[in-house]
Order: sequence, then C-alpha cells, then structure tokens
Amino acid sequence: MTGDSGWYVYAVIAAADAATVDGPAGIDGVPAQVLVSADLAAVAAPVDLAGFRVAQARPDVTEDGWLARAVRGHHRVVEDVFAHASVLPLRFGALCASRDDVLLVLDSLRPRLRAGLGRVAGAGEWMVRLVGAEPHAEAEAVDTTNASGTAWMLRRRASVRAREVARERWSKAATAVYGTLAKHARETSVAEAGVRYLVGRADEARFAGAIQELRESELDPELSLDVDGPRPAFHFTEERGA
Amino acid sequence: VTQPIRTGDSLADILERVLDKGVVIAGDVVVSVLDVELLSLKVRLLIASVDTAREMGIDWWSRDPFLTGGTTTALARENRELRSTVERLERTLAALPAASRRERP
Repeated sequence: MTGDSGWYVYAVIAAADAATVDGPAGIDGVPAQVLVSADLAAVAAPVDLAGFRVAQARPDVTEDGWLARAVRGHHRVVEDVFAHASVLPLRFGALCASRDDVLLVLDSLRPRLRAGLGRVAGAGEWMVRLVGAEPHAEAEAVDTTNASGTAWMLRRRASVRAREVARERWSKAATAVYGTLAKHARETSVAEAGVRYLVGRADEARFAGAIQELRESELDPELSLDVDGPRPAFHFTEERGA
Repeated sequence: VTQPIRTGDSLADILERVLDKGVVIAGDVVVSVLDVELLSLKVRLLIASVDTAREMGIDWWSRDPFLTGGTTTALARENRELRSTVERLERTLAALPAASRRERP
C-alpha cells in the first residue's frame, strides 16, 4: 500500500460474534476483516483514499459512479454482518490511518460503542409507511379557466374540504397502525415518510403478523402499508437525550 | 424465521441510511479525508437538482442520443442525410448551364 491508503471501518460487533463474519466484499471489492479488541470487534478493511478525496470534492451520484458503488459496498457489508450477528453500523466514511488505529478507536470509545451495540443487540429496524390517499395540495389543482368567481370559490372550498377529509382518514389510520405495531417494538422513531420500529428478532413473527392483520382488516380501503425490514438498525444509533 | 421484506433498496434509500445514519467516530485516530456532513449535503443538493430539473421538464439528457446509447442510429441517420445532400449538390452542379461554367477562369 502507498501512503495514500487507510483502514475503513464499517461496523462494530461483539467479539463473540467475530467468527460469523465471512469476509463480505466492501468498498472497491476489498473483503472486510474482523479486528478484535477485548469484548468488541471492528469490521474493517484496507482502502485506497483516492476515491474518498474525489467524492468529497466532486461527488458523483450516478448509479454506477464511485460514490454510489462505495455507499452500496458499505451497506452490503453491514447487511451481510447483520444476517448473522448483532451489528452497530457506522456512518459512511470512518477512516483510520492504520490497522492499529482501528483498534484504538475501539479502545477509546469502548463504553459508547458497547452501549450502542447493546441497544440494537438482537434487533432489526423496520420502516412502515402508510401510502395511498395521502393529502397533498397538488393532487386537486383547481381549474380556474372559464370559471365565474362563485364557481371558483365553490370548487376551491370543495377541494379544501376533500383534502381535510383525506387528511383525517390518513391520520386516523396512521394512529391505528402505530398503536398496533408499537406494541411489538423496543423503540420507535417517527420520520416524515413513515415510522421506524426497532423490533427484537424474537418478536419479528408477531410484528409481521400484526402487519398482515392490519392489511387484511380495519385499515382504510384507500390506504395501504409499505413495509421494509428487518435491516441493520441504522436509525437507532444516535445517542439519546444528547 | 420471518422473510425479509425489501422495498427500500433504491440508491436514495441507501444514501439516506449510510450517509445520514450510523455511529460517527471522531478523534485523533480518524483520518479526516471526508467531511460526511458536507458530502451528504452535496449529494442531497445534486439529487434534488436532478429531480427538480425533471419536474420542470428539463430532461434533455433522456433524449440525447449520445447519453442514452442511441449514438449508432443517430449517426447512421446523419450519414444518410449527408449523403443525400451531397448527391443533390452533385446533381445541381451537373445540371448547371455550360455558360455559367465558362465564366470561370
């Protein structure tokens, strides 16, 4: 390796799970290794820093550009590790100068990493979106051509009312979905697009069963559930109460 | 075992997970080649500008034969057109009256 290389860290796992990681191919196709220090282990690999420098200066977001490939590589490694063990995912771009420095990261941040890993241990995250007649203004654009003032006002009022009704139905259904699913989750995180649930792997069958029941029963006929999971708990890694 | 359900595998979904979420490590041992906050912001702006451009109907790249891989057909068509133009010019030249040709020195 030249001077312009480093070690990339994908995730942190428990040292006890080290043997479950089977060299998944990461950034630039380099297989990830497990570096153990006491009770924690880093999933990491040597990398060439050139790609990162270019990405910082001129990010290329086309589907086959270096950044997209590197981001997918990071995601792939974390997902692969998650398939066999509890995993604390790191954000893209964690670079150390050497292998020893990766171990230093584990040592210097041990209490924080241990707590983070404990929080997501044996659990995965699910994203549940309520889709369908979601209220948004553009859906019912009012046609104002050749309309008298009164007709325009009436149409506009009807449109506003329709939107209100749709919004009420949506929020009623969203509340019902949340109430049902949150019971099976360790934690929840409400996002603009939907709700993320941190679900213990032992509770997955119950969680998935509840989704199935919601789909089949009381949910509004115009609304449906868009579900994704389980995945590594990327969204449950930030320090709480910070 | 519950079967995984996958609806969030687009590049935008992956960028959101990997660039915006996950534990951030910092300190002396971390090489500062990358400012991920800044990178994430740049990527967001780039994606937004592509989407905005599409919404505004600015999608010339989808019709540009060079960018969409339609280069061969476009070139072939251009060649055909050029060939017929040359033939037309040659016919015009041949049909010119002898007088106009005689004027040349």
